[in-house]
Amino acid sequence: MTREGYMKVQIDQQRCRGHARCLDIAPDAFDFIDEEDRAIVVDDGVRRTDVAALIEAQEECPEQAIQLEADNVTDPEPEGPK
Amino acid sequence: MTTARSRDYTLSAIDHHADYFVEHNYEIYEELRAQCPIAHSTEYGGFYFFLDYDTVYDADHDPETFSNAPGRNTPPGESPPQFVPLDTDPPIHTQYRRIGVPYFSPKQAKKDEPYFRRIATELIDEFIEDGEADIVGQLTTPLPAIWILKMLGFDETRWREWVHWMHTMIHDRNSAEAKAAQGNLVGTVFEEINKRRTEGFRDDLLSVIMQGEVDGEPLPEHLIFTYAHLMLIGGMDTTSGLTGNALVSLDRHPDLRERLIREPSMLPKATEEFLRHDTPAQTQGRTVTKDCVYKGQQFNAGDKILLVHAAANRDPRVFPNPDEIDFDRKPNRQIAFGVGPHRCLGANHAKVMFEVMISEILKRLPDFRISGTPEYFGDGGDVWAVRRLPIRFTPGPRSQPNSQ
Repeated sequence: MTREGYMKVQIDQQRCRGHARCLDIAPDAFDFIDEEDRAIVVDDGVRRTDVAALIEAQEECPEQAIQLEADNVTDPEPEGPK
Repeated sequence: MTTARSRDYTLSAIDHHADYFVEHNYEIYEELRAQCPIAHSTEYGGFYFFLDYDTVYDADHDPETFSNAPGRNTPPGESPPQFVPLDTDPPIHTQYRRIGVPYFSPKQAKKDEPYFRRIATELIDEFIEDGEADIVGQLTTPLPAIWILKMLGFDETRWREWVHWMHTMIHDRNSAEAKAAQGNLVGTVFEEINKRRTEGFRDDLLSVIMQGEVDGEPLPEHLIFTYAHLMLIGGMDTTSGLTGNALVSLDRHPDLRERLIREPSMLPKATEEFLRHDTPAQTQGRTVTKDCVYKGQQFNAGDKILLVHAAANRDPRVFPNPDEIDFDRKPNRQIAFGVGPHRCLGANHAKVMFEVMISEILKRLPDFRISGTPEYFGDGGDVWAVRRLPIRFTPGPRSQPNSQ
């Protein structure tokens, strides 16, 4: 089965200038490296984040540094009660 | 504007430091933009305004063509000092910036929120029983000033003196008083530097700057000074400017105030919109490094440019109905803090301080009204901001007993 609606998120590290809008909008999906003044993606957190919030983070990024891609991979094990 | 006041400026000779600019800045941007997104002024030996979003945005991302080296301001002034990191270009800019950057991170700003709220509460306590205040002089100016002085490890109880020096130097730049203020500021910062040299470093930002290295070498004394000075400039002026400007807007638009009281969760979006609509840091200067064609126009090495972030934030092609304050604006990629390598170092703290001040005002004096004419700083070309904002409100109780 495919995990419809899941997203692959990437940040272009050449573009990111640490505005941190993405952390405000989708705090689980992004983290910040203080010393380097830039945001990073938290893969676990992306899965816990609404797609709408990811899209908003992408749209609000002043540097247009966030890339989203539909991640329609097949789950190795079907979900459901064990 | 529908005032009958006659125009006292000529579009081909706009002086962004003139008195008329403070009152007419946004009209001037629109009139210039209607002619061309790149406008020329014959003042100060000639310079250019970059007005629309793309023109400003792309220049911000092209430091090889539009340099931040000293002398970038219009007018450049006599032997302008080099404020670091701001007055440098990549790649060395990155090294200067890295020294201070961890202390201004979004996480650090969030950690500082309870501290900001405590200071705001104490400052509001000082006037909440009076039913009237100069909200800029009594809240929005002291809070960021107290914070940045504490960050640097200076005596924050002396914030009034520091604010006076900074404001005199920035806004009355050619006065004799400005020279005196500069003398006091330079003297006091060097005193602090010397204290750390003789007594040892402390847990403060000045010590961090003094221990910072660029190309493996510590900063020379004069750059330690300008680094600290830049932190003071950034800390003391713009956050208060944003908050004062936003309070003027909230007074004019009761519906917006109602909405923020009803839906406090809108505040982060409102903050972005106030940054866009009421941008305090209106312009940033750049110098063209080489003869080139940019956006179809010929420039020569040495040309002076003003990137007008405030005008870019009102570009109707990017922000429909740009003069309207709309908390639901989507997307809102405002560039009040700049974009590219020079993105404002204090942006995260500025937003948290702004949100703390606005939310405390709406909690404790929700019915405030401006009770006199807002008084703006005389020079709005760099920072456009309210200097004095008299308000009235229903008096309320102190939140802590008077300790005096």
